[in-house]
Parts: sequence; structure tokens; C-alpha cells
Amino acid sequence: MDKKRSIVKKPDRGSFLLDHNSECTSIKNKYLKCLKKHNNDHLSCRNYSKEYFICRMDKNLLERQDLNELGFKENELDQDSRIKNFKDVYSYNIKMENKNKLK
Amino acid sequence: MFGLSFAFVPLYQLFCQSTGYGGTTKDKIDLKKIVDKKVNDKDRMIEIHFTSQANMPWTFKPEQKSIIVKPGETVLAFYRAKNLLNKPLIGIALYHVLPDEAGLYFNKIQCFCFEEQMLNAHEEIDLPVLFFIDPDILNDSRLTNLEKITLSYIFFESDSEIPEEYHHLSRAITPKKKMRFKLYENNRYLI
Repeated sequence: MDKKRSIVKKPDRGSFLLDHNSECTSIKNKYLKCLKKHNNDHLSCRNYSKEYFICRMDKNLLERQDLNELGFKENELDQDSRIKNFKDVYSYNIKMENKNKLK
Repeated sequence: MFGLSFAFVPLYQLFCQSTGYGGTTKDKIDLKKIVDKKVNDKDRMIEIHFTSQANMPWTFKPEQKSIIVKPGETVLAFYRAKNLLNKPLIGIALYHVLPDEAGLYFNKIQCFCFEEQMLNAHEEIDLPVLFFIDPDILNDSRLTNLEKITLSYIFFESDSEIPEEYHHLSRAITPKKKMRFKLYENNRYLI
């Protein structure tokens, strides 16, 4: 029998409270729409993720905390999709690797 | 492949209990440190794919097919579940990361797994996941050509009692006698 055991870890901060009244669903939808528009590069939609957490905090669905604690940096601006000019992640990685080799 | 990973349903009981796993209390991950961590100047991106499965009368789907991330960035992703029945249902989710080696670097800050979630009759709900990939993954020689990580969740119905207020509604599935494996004892895996 395969002895390899996959690593399964508990989330660091437990579970999100359920948004039973869909109070932050509209922001979630904006975020998802943004992802589609930017080739699924999450960094392009940073502001929407921030907004989502702020919404949760406002509606008591999340403990109030500094956004830094959720991994957001100061002055983070929405960027254009990093992968916009590439067919896929693989081509992006190859290009970056070659670029770094030339440095 | 799925069957092998999820065959041990009682695994959830290990995590379903109180806070400390194995009695240890871990310090909260300091995200500020992770975010500022510089590992070489490798400019690699990874595509995270999301899949789902529900072994109960819920529809359960990821709300985005994939998200492209750089290790060290905290990422928000969504799943959505809907209770198809006209009675409340309690579910518990487990997750799995592929490839297995990547699981070591996959860190969930907050999600909806391991703890019971109750959905009212016909209720539909957003299930967010906040995670990041540890930048140390870029130094793992086994994963140098890794472009894709798959995160899969599976929901099971929980054995728990539905709370007082919902007692008048009968359970969706009558609990059967499940085969219980003793998977873990005294800090060791038995299998």
C-alpha cells in the first residue's frame, strides 16, 4: 500500500463565519468579474479583495484587524494582469527565467 | 485517486476537535514576514486550479476555475454551496492539494474546512478561502518546473446533531453505522 501521506493542515485562523445574509456577495461578484477580465491574475484585483475583507469586518463577519495582518501591503495598487502578454503561466516563467539569466 | 485520499472519513474528527492539534499551540503565522520574504529573485508564477466534490445533497462548486499567483502573495478565492433539500444540513469539508509535495507550501489562513457548516433549507452561501503559497517553494528542487497546483475540496455530511431550534425537522440522511478506522493514536499514525 502506498505509504505516502499527504499533508493536510488546519487553517491558521480557522473558519470564516458564514455570510448567511449575503451581505458581502456583491463585492465578491465584483472581485470575480475582475479576475475574469484580468486573465485570473489576482494582483489586478487587489482592491476588491481588500473591499471584501472590509465589508466582512463592517458586518461583523470577521474580526477587526489591520489589513496588513491579512497580507495586504501599504499602497498596493491594482495592476494590469502580469500574464496579459503571455499565453499561459508556463510561457511567462520561461521568459522571466531567460530574462534573469541575461542580467 | 480521490478515493485513496478521502477514504479515511474519520480523519475529520481529528481536526474537528478543539484548537490545538496534538496539544500544540502554534503561533499565528506572521503574514507581514511572509509577504516581505525575498527568495532569490525568481519571478515565477503558479496557477492554482480549484475543484470540488460533494458527497451529500449540496451543490458545491468553485467560483473561479483558476487564479494566477506569485508565492508569498495572499490570495482570496471562493466556493459556493447550496443545500438542495428542504431541511437544514450540516457539512464538513476536507481539502487536498496536488501535487502532494506542494501541500507543504500551501498555507490556508482562513477557510471553511474542518469545521462544521450548517446550511438552512435551500440556502446558498459563499465560501471564501484565504491562502498563500510559501515562497520557499521556489527553493524546492522537486518543484522547479511546477506551474500548476490543484486545490480540491470535498464536503461530507456531518454526524452531528442539528441544533435545538431545528429539531422538528428530520435529518436528511439517517446515519448508518460507519466503519471506523483508528487512524491515529498517541501522536503516531497507525496505518
